[in-house]
Amino acid sequence: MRLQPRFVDAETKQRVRAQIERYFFGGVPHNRAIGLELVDFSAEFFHTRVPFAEHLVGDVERGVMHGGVITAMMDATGGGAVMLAAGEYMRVVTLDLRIDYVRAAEPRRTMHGRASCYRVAHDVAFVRGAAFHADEHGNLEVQIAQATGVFALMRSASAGRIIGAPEPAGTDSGDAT
Amino acid sequence: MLPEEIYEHIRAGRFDTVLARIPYIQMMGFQFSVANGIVTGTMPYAEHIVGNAKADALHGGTLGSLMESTALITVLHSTLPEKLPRTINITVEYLRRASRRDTFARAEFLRRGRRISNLRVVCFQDDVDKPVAAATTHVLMG
Repeated sequence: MRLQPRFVDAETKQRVRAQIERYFFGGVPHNRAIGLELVDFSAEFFHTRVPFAEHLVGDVERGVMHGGVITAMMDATGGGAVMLAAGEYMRVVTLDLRIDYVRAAEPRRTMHGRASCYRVAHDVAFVRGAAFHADEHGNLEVQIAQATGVFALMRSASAGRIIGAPEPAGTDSGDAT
Repeated sequence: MLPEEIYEHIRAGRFDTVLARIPYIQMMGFQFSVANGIVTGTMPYAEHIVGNAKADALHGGTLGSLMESTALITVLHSTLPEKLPRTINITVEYLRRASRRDTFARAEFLRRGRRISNLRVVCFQDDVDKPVAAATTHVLMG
């Protein structure tokens, strides 16, 4: 049986959040380039956002961000969901990612991405998610895109580092794209 | 309706003059050229497109973005629609690790419709026969 990540107390969750932000966001140059931020997470979901920024605009007339930002955000968000569902820091590689643009983004609004991994097998994991504009609580207000992805798990590179486990001195966390 | 001068640029394959106005395209460094009627999109290597430095891998999202943009430019160049074409959906398949070097994409129509078209896009680096990614996309014609 695989071990579930446990965020039973606020202190553990805070430590996991710091690890994710350090390696998954800070350590991935393109995630930094689009200004990707971690909103919330659990073993069941991964929630990110990209605040509106002028350098990400793809439609100058309407003032909305380029679709490529959504692709990059959902790729990273799906990978995060897989890692948390698997419960180990490990390299996660995207096999395929489908994005349906269900409606046009609204001008100058933050884009949220939320994904959940609904099946983790030994070698692959399956993800669905959405890109959306959120209300003040971070809940879906207007859906912009639907995402479906399959990811490969690089378990050999995980070194059995359980997410949320006490951190042994002198180790660092996993890396992911 | 796009201004006639923009059509002139697109018809002539002078995409850079049109795309210079789009901040995201500038940030990503995308360039587009036409040879024998085929559009090639180029994403020059830059540190900010890296997804995993340890694994020497570009971010998957940047490959998807290059392919989506190349499909749209291919539609623009070949059909000169009245409005800008829009992506309905795209499925990206990641085939090989994309390492830290220049990346290219080319699109071809599998179906060219009056309102909706389907294109297959291939993304490669050194060897056109060893694509690093491929994509299928539906595009709403302008």
